[in-house]
Amino acid sequence: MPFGIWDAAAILLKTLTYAATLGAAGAVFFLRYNGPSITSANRLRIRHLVLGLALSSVLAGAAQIMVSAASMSGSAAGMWDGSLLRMVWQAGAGRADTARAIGLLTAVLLVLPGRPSGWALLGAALAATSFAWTGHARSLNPDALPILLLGVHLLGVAFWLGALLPLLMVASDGDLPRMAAAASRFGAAAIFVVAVLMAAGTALLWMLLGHVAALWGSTYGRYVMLKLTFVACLLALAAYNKLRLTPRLRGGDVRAAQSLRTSIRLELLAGMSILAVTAAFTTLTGPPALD
Amino acid sequence: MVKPWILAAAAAGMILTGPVFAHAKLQSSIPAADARLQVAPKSLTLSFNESVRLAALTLTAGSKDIPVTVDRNAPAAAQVSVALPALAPGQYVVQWSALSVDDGHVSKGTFAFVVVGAAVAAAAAAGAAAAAIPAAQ
Repeated sequence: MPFGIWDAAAILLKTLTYAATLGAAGAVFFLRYNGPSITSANRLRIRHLVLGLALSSVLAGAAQIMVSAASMSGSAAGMWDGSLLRMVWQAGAGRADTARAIGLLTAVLLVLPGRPSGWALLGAALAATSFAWTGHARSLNPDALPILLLGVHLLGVAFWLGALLPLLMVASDGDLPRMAAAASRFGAAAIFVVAVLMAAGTALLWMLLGHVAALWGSTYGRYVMLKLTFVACLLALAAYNKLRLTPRLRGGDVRAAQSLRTSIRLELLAGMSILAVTAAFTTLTGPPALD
Repeated sequence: MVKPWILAAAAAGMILTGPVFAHAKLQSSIPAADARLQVAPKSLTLSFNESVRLAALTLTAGSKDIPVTVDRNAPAAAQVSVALPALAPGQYVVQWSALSVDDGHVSKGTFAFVVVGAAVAAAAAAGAAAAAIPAAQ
């Protein structure tokens, strides 16, 4: 079946849903562990960011269901076809979208007035892990461990990628000590979080691929290798920030602030590339273990 | 010096080369893909490797759409059938799309079959037999 306009639209919307949801959840986490050390103006901007990303996530998720219906019917009329929309909704998208919306609503309502409470973190975690409620991990048998691993992986991704926009906001206000403090807090937590997310991702990948040769011997595996290339870029940038730029910021080096902003923008680009590749291969291909 | 975008496009091409929409897989169909049938089928059956819900199925003969009814309220199953109207001799193209109930992913596919018709098949068989007689002598 040829790749068509609806498939391109589905991948784009899936990428947006990933980015907005994980971005909102990660910004809530960031406010929790970094809130006291950043300015009230930045806290307000990050709360607005959470609100904007949550709204974008819900809209993109709804549009994704409509595009799936159109993709199945082969025409735009499918977007308004009640029986097709119901079919997509009942096949898991409805359950995942509902969980995501409840999680984001909880997080937004509790983040807007002040520092995120435990309930706000729970809402953010529910939204971030909602992607595990549907997709390939659910097709494995038994599916409990793959779903758990995917949930852990998603929480780590939300923590990591979701911190980038808030970090960029903090890095843009010219206050070097606050900038260094925020980067240090993030960097200290990120070592543990990234190790856990990589371990969970590797274990899940092993289950989905079935054998190592599938990495280069299958379309799915080749997409995964492209994703891992972007992950390597992201890790390299993160290491540069932590080991080189953060110490220079602590020492009051003004040029390090500009370098940090550039580096975070590049990390955002790498992060969006990872999400786009993930959206592409989970839409277009199936894992070898399910063949 | 090879430009980076050319390398990127080549890498993307290598990665994208391969089957796509490999979620729920169509394992077989009745009529089979590329089948030549003497008798027009009364129904079309698709067998998948997992439970699906059939979302759409179109049957075309040349540029003519043949009306087929898909029951979207049918429960998910690994084998789905649709009734066909009376088909005249000709080539038919089937396009289907289905939704996997396990992972919520869309699968699509297309295949063709030919209804030769009993009269045409008998004539072809008679022609083949007549051609075989001199050769045997």
